[in-house]
Amino acid sequence: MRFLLGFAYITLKENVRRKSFYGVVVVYLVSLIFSRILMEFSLQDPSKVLADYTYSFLSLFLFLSVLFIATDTMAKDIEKKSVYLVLSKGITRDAYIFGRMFGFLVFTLALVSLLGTLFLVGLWVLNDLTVGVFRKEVHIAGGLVVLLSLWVKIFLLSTVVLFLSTFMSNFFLVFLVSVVVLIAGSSVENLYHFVSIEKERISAIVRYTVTFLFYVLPSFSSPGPDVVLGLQKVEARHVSLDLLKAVAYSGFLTVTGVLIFRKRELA
Amino acid sequence: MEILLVKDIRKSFGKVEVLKGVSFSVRSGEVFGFVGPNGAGKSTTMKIIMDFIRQDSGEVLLFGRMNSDPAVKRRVGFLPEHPYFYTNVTGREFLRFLQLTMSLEESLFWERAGYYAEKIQIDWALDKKISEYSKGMLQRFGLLQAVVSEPDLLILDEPMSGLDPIGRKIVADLILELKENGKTVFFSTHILPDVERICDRACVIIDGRVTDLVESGDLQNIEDIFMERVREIGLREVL
Repeated sequence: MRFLLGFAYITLKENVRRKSFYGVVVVYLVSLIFSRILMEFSLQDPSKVLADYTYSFLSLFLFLSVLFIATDTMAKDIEKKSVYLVLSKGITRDAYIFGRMFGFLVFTLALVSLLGTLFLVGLWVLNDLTVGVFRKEVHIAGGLVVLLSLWVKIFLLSTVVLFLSTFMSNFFLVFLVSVVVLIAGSSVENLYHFVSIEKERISAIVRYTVTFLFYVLPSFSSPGPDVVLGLQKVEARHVSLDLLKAVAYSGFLTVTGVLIFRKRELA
Repeated sequence: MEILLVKDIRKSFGKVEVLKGVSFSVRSGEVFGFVGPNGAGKSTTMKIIMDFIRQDSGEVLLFGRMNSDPAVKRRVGFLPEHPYFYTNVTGREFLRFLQLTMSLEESLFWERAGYYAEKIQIDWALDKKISEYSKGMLQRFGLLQAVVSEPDLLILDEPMSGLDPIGRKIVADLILELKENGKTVFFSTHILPDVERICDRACVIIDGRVTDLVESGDLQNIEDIFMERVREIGLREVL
């Protein structure tokens, strides 16, 4: 199992050195200040505006960073043949995939911890500067649930990218299909909730199709800023099931990726 | 004792047959040259030996076992033709990654790494980012990662390419030193003087077929043998 440490080490080292990594942190800090300015334009619910914007920027930066970095890591490993140097060391193909997945599990945790801390601390400090009757409290426990969920979801995205890299030969293609899966997964989820509410008005074929796609495609949503502000209670059962689905989906993609990669010609 | 046995391997990519029944064997403790013009099938053969791609038919045995066995790979060091490393890390960090993934004893690993890095004259650059390495430095670092675990068999794909005369001498000296220490080296090249100078035996591959197995007594004639075969097959690109 020591090989997992090696992959975690190299994934962290490789990605923490990226200038874009620090760029994301700086831009996120700027976006926090920007959110604070936007808050001034809200007459009724400044805390909610602040939380909505800071959370939107957080999830946007997390998903974009992971999309770019995961594609740049494994798809390029195979395209540029740096995978030869690893596999020639007696590391099996299965171990390589598991190692890369584990590396991303650790990296996404580091990324969420860093940006998530900025999000919670930033929101808490900026919200504290707010006065008025509509000001709401920031619930750190709720914030941690949101961050945990975000971590699982961005790890899910990285497994989608790594899975696609096991059989697609082109870096750009992997990126493109990953974006399509991300958009499709998010859209179908919204559609599924809409269909669930409007059952009577929607035809059975559409309902079944949407339900089928909902279970086939990965779901990337997570509890939002309302949970951080205590406006929405965390439904433990719902969140647990959702996270369980994401973990199972990641596991399924990993195992399928391993089976595909065993057969792949690394010409 | 044969530690690498390649038996009648064939490989096609689409309709193009790249290897047309390649067979040869490498004995323990020798330096074996794999000579051929560009596109002869040298790199494809090496990729099959390393199990990166699979032959359509035939067999490859390493230390008497199937080449897909990860345990035998641990006894092999490999340098690809164009080594590509993770560019955002330093040479030392990449070595640390290897040490962790191969679960090698730390102090022994770094002792060997220091020794070979100095030998290959890349020690001064180990704390630089790999993206800052020149082509020659990448080749030297590639050699370092291949030898650092002191494998019994070293497989090198064009180890001299991209090196200046000093670099070529360093690599040649290292190969000879490894041989003295009982290691086996199998390397591909199209630089014939290197084969004459370093190898105990060599085989010539042209157009996906092994045309000659040249024993030590005939190695000084390898250039003549090679050119004659090229003429016979009519490869204008080489002539």
